[in-house]
Amino acid sequence: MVKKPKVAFFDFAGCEGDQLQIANLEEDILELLDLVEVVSFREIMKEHSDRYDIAFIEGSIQRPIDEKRLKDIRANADVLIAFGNCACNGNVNKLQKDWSIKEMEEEIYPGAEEIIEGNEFFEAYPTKAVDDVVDVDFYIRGCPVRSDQVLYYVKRLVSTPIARNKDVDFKTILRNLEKDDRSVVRYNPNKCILCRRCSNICKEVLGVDALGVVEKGSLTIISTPQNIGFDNNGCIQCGQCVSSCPVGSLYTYSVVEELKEDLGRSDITMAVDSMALASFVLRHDTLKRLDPEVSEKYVVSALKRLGFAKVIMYDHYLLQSQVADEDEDYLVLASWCPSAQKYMADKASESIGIKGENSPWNLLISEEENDICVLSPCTAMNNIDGIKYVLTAPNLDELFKQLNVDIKFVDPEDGVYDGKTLPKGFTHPGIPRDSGDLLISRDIVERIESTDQAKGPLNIYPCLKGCANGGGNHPTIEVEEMENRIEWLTKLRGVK
Amino acid sequence: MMCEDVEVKELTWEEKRTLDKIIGSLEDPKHDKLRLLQLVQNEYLSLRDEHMRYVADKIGTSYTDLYGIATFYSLFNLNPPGRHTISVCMGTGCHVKGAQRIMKKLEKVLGIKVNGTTKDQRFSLKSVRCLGCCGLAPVIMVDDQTFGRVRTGQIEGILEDFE
Repeated sequence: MVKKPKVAFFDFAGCEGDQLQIANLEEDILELLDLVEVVSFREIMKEHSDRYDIAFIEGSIQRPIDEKRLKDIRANADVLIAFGNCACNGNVNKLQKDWSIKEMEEEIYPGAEEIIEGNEFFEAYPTKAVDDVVDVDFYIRGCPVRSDQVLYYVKRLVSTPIARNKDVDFKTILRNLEKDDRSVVRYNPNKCILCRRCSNICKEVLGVDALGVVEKGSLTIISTPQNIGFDNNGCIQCGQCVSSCPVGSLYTYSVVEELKEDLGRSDITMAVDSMALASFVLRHDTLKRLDPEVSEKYVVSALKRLGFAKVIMYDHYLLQSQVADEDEDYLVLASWCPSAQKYMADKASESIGIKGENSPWNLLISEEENDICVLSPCTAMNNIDGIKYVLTAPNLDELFKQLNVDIKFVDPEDGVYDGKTLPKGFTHPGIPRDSGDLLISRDIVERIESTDQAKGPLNIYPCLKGCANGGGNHPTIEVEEMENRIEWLTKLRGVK
Repeated sequence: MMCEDVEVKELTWEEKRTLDKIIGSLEDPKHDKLRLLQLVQNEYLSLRDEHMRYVADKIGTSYTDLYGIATFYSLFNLNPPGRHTISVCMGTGCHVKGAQRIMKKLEKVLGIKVNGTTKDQRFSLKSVRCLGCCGLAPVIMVDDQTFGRVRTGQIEGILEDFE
């Protein structure tokens, strides 16, 4: 014969209506008794035993002696069930919180202070539920509980192994995808819940269908065919997928955010192109009014305050790259525009004789050991391997704001460049020397293509009428603004 | 941002004609993409990048869409399969009898991973769920021949028969 589990019922502060529900089971009680052996049930039997497996606790806990008794029961029982609402959460007994214990004693036992004093049976404290005192394995709720519910729980406990109320640990598999930094919109597969809002918006609403669901099962991700990257798959950078993502797995790349995190971690060298410096200074009224040299010092000092390991002058490399090959046989063609340089290197290298290593950024990269950040007017610098961050003047503004550096309160005396600087009187290569006209990218490229008479450093403003090489997503700049910058730069460098 | 140039192979005149024929054979190709991809795969053994691009363009959908379908169904291959296909049963019965070990051994012998194809195009390795002969577990199939109660030591011998 299979040994029946022993069941005991215990009552604490409560109306005992829940136990009455069991007593009222009528013929079903026979079924219950077939399954278990009731060893303690004050309401229906005289016998009592302290040897039991399952304990039903009814009522809430009001006194220290109740608490001690409950802890003893917990130690004896394998399974402890909070039975009825009073045990589960305190129920109506918890309403007593509106009065103090003293007030209640006076109301209920008037004139019996001497008897109550020091008597443990009257030592009450604010009501506790059972699970405030001991661990509870199961809860049967109801006021009163439904009798068939009791039967169900008892049957379940008898027939199946006991699984206690525990939090289940789900292990998540992190997907180690290579970091994809090709596109403006980026994707973090480990955050993605595969709701498909992004792909639906991209396909159904916008009709672009740049991103879609790829693979099956646990490998499913939002991606592009053959993993070519969003930008290569016709992404129009509308940002609808980013704003529709409920968990933030799609996000737009921000150099400011990335730099903000990396500044504390690694040594970064800041190379300042003074054309971008001019743009930055002209954005600030307070800096604009100062002497150009002083405002430059303010900016350099603020950059050092941000946490850059070194702040160097990029113009130095610009100049160096232009004069380096003056005595060579081939024509010297250099440009501080990466797009024009790339164009010349790709298309015109054989006929004109351009050396790729002549570019200013290659000189910079070969000399610097730290990660390089460039303050540049041109976002196409992003395409150069070895330059990790490219900040434009508005980006720098944002960085100052996010890291709480106020440029007005830095000490301009600290604003000294590390490394070599341009001697006084040398112009920024961006300033045209021969004529007052600004040369526009497409004209220059045409000149290179049609004639062989493009000698000497070129002053190309690719941004003026669209980028020479089709790169960069920035707005084109106005001629007037460019002239303002040149005016400021001429003052700064002391050129007449 | 960095944008790599994606090179797409040009289709030959014959390929275009065959694909057009397949598209024309379906009543409503835009809503019968599964059948369409199946027919393309039957023709060329696998779904190639340039073919899917062409077909997507023709039926007025996107490559992203077709690629999603092609990677979702295990029916479709993106890479051409080998001359012989080895299917290793990973069902419950075979799993209990050590299908994992068989799979590991096969991966080691062939030098490829699951769903891969050997460099000489001789074998493709696939995992399947229950071949319906659990009494023979663990089971592997090479093309349409079934091998039951396989031991890791027998694997090389089995593969020798397939050239």
